[in-house]
Amino acid sequence: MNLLNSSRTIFISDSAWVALVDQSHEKHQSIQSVFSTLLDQKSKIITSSYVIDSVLEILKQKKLTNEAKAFLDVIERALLSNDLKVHWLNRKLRRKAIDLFLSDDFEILNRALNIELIKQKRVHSILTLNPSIYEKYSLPCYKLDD
Amino acid sequence: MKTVQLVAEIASDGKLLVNDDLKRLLQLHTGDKVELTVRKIISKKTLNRPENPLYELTK
Repeated sequence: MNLLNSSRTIFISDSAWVALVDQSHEKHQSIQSVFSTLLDQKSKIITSSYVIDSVLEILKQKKLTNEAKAFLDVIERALLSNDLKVHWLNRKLRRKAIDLFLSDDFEILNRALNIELIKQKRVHSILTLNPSIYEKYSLPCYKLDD
Repeated sequence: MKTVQLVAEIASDGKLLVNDDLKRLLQLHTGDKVELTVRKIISKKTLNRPENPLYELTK
């Protein structure tokens, strides 16, 4: 299934952002290639505020503080230029996500938050390194080449 | 055949402005005549829009 069509809404997960920023990540080059294609095709790139926070935490844990600062700078400029949409959680969506988190075998609350947000925003596909989580809920993910 | 995307601009006097990079790429010289096919008209606003900052994550 080719999900790289133009004018599609693509949700970027924390795992994808981290692989994009961390040059030592095993998927760095392949995810850069996919992301570049998505940008060339004018896909609508969206993510969420808690995903950005999570990326910053992971990068700091990896001792990539300078990369975290540079990433945040890019995100803020992309927000200002309307090249990126960052969604904030509302109370209702957060409640639904917590219910989902507690009723299924999630280990990380953010993943349940992503699923509820993606369903609400009618995302066409998800760029993630953990597709099985989303595919379980019939949410389409872009497959990276190994 | 190699297809490339090039952008030219119409000046206020109606002349087509071709930049030096484009001249070099097409090996054009003063007085040369070229046949062009317009595929898409791009507004000046769009043309001058800065590159999407997210591209920095792909470099």
